[in-house]
Amino acid sequence: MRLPKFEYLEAKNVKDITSLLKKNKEAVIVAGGTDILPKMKQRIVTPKFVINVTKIEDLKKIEFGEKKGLALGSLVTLDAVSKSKPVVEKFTALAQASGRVASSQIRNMGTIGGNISIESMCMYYNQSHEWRKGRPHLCFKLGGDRCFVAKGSKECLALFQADTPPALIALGAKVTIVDGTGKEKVIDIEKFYTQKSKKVNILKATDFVKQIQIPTPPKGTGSCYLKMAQREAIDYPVAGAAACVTVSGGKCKNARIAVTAIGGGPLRLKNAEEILIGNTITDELIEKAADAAYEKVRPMPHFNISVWYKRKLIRVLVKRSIKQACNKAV
Amino acid sequence: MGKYSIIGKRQVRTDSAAKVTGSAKFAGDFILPGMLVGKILRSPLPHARILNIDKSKALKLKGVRAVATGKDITDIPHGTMRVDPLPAILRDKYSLAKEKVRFIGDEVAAVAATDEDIAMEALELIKVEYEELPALFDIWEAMKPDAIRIHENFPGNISTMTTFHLGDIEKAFAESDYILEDKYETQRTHHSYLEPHAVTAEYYPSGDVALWSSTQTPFYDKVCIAETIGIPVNKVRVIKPHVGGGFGAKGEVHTLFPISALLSRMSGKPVTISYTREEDISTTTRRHPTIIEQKIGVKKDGRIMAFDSKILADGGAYQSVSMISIFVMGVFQHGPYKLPNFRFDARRFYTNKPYCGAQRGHGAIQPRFVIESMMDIIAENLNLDPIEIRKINALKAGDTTMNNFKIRSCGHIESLDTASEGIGWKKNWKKLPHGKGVGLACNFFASGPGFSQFYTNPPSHSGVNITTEEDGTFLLYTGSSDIGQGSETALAMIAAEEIGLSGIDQLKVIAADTATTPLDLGTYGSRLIVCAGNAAKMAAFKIKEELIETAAEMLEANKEDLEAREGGIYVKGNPEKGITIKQAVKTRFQIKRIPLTTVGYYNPPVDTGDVSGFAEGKVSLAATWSFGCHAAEVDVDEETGVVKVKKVAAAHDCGFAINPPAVEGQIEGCVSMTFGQATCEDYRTEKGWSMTNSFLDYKIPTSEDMPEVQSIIVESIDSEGPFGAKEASEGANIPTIPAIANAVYYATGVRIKDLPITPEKVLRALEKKGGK
Ligand SMILES: Cc1cc2nc3c(=O)[nH]c(=O)nc-3n(C[C@H](O)[C@H](O)[C@H](O)COP(=O)(O)OP(=O)(O)OC[C@H]3O[C@@H](n4cnc5c(N)ncnc54)[C@H](O)[C@@H]3O)c2cc1C
Ligand code: SF4
Repeated sequence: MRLPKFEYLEAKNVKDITSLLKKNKEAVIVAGGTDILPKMKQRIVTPKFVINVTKIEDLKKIEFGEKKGLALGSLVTLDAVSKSKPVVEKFTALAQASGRVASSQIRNMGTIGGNISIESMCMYYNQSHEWRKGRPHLCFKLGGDRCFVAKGSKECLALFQADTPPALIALGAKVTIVDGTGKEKVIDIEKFYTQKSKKVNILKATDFVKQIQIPTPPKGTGSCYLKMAQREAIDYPVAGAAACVTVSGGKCKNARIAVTAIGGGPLRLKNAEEILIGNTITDELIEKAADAAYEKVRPMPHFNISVWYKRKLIRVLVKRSIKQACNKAV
Repeated sequence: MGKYSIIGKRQVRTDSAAKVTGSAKFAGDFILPGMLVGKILRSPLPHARILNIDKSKALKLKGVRAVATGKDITDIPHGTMRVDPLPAILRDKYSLAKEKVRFIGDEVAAVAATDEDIAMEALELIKVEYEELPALFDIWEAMKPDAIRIHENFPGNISTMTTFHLGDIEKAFAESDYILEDKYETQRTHHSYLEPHAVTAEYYPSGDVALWSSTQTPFYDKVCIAETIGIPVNKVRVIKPHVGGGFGAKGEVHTLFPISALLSRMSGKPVTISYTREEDISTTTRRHPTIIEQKIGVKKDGRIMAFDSKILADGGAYQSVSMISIFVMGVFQHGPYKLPNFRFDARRFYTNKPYCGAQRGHGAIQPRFVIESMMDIIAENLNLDPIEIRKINALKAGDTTMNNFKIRSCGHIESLDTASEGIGWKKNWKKLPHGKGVGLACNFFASGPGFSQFYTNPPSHSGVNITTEEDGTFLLYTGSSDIGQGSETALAMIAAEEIGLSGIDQLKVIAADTATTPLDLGTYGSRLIVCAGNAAKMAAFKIKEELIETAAEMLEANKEDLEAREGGIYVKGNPEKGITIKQAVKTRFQIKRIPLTTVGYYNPPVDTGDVSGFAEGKVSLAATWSFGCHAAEVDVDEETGVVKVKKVAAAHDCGFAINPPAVEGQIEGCVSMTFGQATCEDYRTEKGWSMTNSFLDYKIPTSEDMPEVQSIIVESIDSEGPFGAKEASEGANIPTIPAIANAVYYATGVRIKDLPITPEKVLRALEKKGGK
């Protein structure tokens, strides 16, 4: 499969990105390109302009200070994130999530900014142009009147399956977005997502992600991301769960839990967090939190995996990620 | 010094340098002056009549040089089931649809254009009018009495049927102490070779056409291409360049071959066609999915009394080689265990889906999963050890099965012993902590089919010519197709050993070019090592004899007293007295002044080609038979159902390992292929739409999933194979799946009877067992 025709543009600095995006309608940013290029080959996106942002060295930095916390330029590769010393030590869930994306080749190219910005996916949509073209009916995502996954649904319910967002949510990350006027705004990563499959994030056509910041976790904090996929590499999660727990004197001071690959965005599970916070960590307590997660999630089925299984799986992944986070918290 | 100086030693393959440096050329790598790109328009409907095809708009597009439809080909369908007395209707597919399309992806028209993008655009400009017909998406719909016929000539939509009854199963079951009836299901799997189908064709003003094609069977392709485009067979030349795997899928004459030749003739330019991975997965062949009901009767001590086997297979839209697929699903049940009574009833149905054909371990994988699972259930219920029950029933060398298979060598017992030892059976079986388990299973496979499904009277099954140069180096011409398995290296080793050369660098293999190499039936049925190997050995022997004759004159010795080894010809027992082979060649040329080329050939033993008992399932079928045993260790996460295969100890009886690392590589490749088919691979369609069209969605395992493989070579020294060799590329594909299924059972107490063994199935079974 070949790429469709497009005009190639290059941004030399952050300002360039904004002006290029503003000047050229129907432009896309290509960071690692591991997500957007296959989609272009499949003609899922056929942009007129492609903006290469990878020449901007400023956005490839990992900075860490105890006080300032962690700052990741949006172009830092997933491989670099997963191997960075401060990330491995203090933001373990993020290192684990970055290290489990796709395969080493894709992690060498793929960026953290690209990872949080990917769209939802579906077996009835993420196929070649030839495949989609021949279908007798169109689904919502293609402007049609139905959903093949959830018969009877009134909207698209495609799955958001990125690995790092639940880890970033659990770690309380913030995202710096530069808008079309060049203004920067910093928002909670949770607010970055719409929970709508049709368009999973709030980015406007002229916005781009500059940086991701995470505050240094307080002492006694541990975090963990666990993923189950149908194979060890080159596979999106069937489900993924991240937990970040702060423990003091055996008691849970704070907890944040989030899951991915259940719907139109990464989902924070406050009801499970509440069960932990303020209580002494025991196996029974963790089981209860996992039960709460099980009750809360109403996952979309995968093509070949049932809702029944996914809920069970989320329960196990939440339980195990809390346990491992607690183990690291001491 | 051992008995041999070349074979049995670890030899670097002749294609290694080309492959590791990236210089190896595959069918899609040829760039010829003025070459066009071909693309195929495919049916978007699962079942429809073609009313009209309007190609006028496409032809007007700048850059389009030819548009072909079913009207541009002859009325001879292609297909490899061609031998007399098979009925002509078994060839049921046209390269380009003539009246009907039968699955989504069926070939309707083809375009050649100066550029891929233009060709794609042109496809969209071809207007096809269809009359949609009811479509049948599963065998239950297909077998309904009022179902539409997908092919007019096949009532009930039964594309293939095999039934036979040997012995007396009613009596045998009556005499059995224990009877087990069980039901299993297997899924569709794709071969997932690295190189999708590809071809480059060049038609010449002389009316000849040459094709570089990714194929296992150039000599079959040649005939089908000639028939489809209506030219004499001798005008078609098929050259097989390097091929990136085939595993049975490329033993079929696929549409792109005749189409590329046709487009080249229509445009007057060379044409190249490479399938996308999506096209490849969704429109070529796949393994047959089956539903198998099996009844096995045994005596108290585990001795098998009878099998009663019923198989339903979903064949998809066309025949492919299903005559063989379905037949061998039955007859392959005659080993590795003695089977005194056997009833077999198998039906394959047409459905409006991508069609199924041969895949590595052809026809053996499905029933073997069933039998080896049931052997363990029976053993447990009779309180027997799984190894003992497999030994007490074992065939042995010298046996002839009740349907006439001649067992010339048999490494079954040794395979069982070495594989089980490799997995630590004694200390691990039923002794590992809950969630962990080991299990094993055996295999049995043909090595060298006795007859061709294609040629009624092939000159021989494999021909090899050897000739020599003035400098004392040799050329070996073989029609056989190395598609990545390393057979060219093995043939070079066999010939070099037989001639008495000091290394394979003194012998060059020229292979698989229908214009210059002698006919070979192709790469399928695990035939190359036995068939082409024997032919190479014979040609080598003959040329050695010629040279020894010359040497005898030079040395003034008796021919009988001379031997050739390590590049020289010596008087036996007197290494001082001898000449080099190079000298012998030179002198031979000087004295005789006639070309020195010898012809070797191989035909399987006459009884193996006797198909008179076909209807009763009594056919000797193969030159010889391979055996083996795999033992697997698994780790099951009982909360998620995830099965991790930790290790497979894989013993394979290849008769004699000509090139041991190649045999080990085949064993590892087999495990990697079938542990994926055991645990995650599942080709899916929905209402005829191919869903799993990429390697993201069709889950072949990655290197990170791969278990440790202990390759164990068992050598039974076969009397028919060259230097005792038998096949090593398919048999080892067969026992991994049941070995894993058995291991999962010992780890968890649950037995999954439909493939693949997914986490969800395991978890459901565990919950059911736990009473949840
Ligand atoms: C075979 C395969 C397997 C995969 N498996 C996984 C997996 O297991 N888990 C997973 O999470 N992902 C997976 N991916 C998706 C993808 O590779 C990763 O998400 C990767 O991190 C994307 O980053 P990138 O830099 O390559 O993004 P790109 O492809 O460059 O961009 C992705 C999208 O984000 C936009 N974008 C990129 N950077 C920015 C920015 N700074 N600001 C605003 N928008 C931006 C682009 O315009 C585009 O729409 C897989 C992809 C493939 C092809
Ligand atoms: S979830 Fe439904 S609407 Fe959305 S892409 Fe898939 S089939 Fe289409």
